[in-house]
Amino acid sequence: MARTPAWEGAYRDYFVARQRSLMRTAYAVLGSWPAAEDAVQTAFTQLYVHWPRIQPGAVDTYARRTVVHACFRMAKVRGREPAVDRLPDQPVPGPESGLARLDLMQALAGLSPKARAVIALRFLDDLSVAEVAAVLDLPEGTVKSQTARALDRLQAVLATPEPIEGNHHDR
Amino acid sequence: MTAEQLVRDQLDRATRDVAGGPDLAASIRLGRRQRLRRRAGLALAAVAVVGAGAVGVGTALSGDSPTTARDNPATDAGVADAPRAEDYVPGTDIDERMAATVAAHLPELPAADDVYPSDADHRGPMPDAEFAQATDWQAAYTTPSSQVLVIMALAEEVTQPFACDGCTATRAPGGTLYRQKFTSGDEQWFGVYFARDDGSMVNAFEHVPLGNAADRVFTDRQFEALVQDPALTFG
Repeated sequence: MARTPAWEGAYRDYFVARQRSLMRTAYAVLGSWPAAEDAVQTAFTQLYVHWPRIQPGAVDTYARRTVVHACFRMAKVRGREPAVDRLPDQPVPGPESGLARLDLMQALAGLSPKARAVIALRFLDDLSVAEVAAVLDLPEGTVKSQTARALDRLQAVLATPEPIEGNHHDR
Repeated sequence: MTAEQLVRDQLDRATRDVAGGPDLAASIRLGRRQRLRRRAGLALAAVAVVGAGAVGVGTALSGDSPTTARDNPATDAGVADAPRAEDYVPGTDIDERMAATVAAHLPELPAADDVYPSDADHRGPMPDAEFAQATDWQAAYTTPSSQVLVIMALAEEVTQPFACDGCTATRAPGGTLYRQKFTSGDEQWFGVYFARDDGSMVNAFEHVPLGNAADRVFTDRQFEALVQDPALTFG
């Protein structure tokens, strides 16, 4: 007789396939790998609890939403502003502006958790405005405006002698 | 390069070397426990129609499909092994005795997903370490087509005279047997309860998806024999 639910294999596969990506998203929001690990662990537990009722095509959205909201709770409850871990000391290729030479994670620390989530979902997970809106339960217009404001803020914080021409096109 | 592209590149670099990560075994273990609690919460409202006598008995059946289980290699691998004495709660043999009694009556069942102590303050398991304070014990099972829950409760758990809405009642030696069918959400439930004259109680439930009553593995008669077994007591 079966001892585990039939869907558990799919859950395991999803965990293996997506845990790294979700860790990166959580880190972008929280600025700390241990905190990201806690948030993603919590999210995967919740994902297990609700897995049988999640539509197959909606798993990614559900998982991201759960991770992001776990991040929000952690940021709120612990009063954690991104305690930026030591970042990989990698050279920035190319002759681009000073933005690339500066520490984006420190700049992100100046944004609200929601703004960091918008930036992470848009530019790390490469989601469309509509997809970000679905994850965050926000109107698309709000996502667009928050993205623009967050980018402006990042540009302001990371301003360098070589100005950058902002381009806030939405997909 | 646009600001967007620079942010993309920086984010990619800053998050590329992932440090640590969630633990799959922990996610499953914690998820199973939470599913059990969640199902207990969902079921409580349904079982409330049974009557005041069942209040506080956190049943662990719900509309969700399977399962909860203690982690062990055989379980996780889905190995179809025979029920065996598994120590679900260290420090007591109530769990083993309960599982053995259920297995004797319902040999079709696999090993229990979980056997755990509970009380009126917990919908589902209470911490194992507090088993001495338990006022009921519950054993949860998953078959390929249904879920089964057996609850044995002390008399002190039953705070009011038993009243079972919509039940058929039959007098039996030492107590009264009740049968009940009801739906909760998209689930069809089958319950058989034995209210002993001393106030203690044993409940057995099986539920299947609504409209799939034929998927039920056990009969009321099998449950009646089970709930009347005098071995299903503790304390």
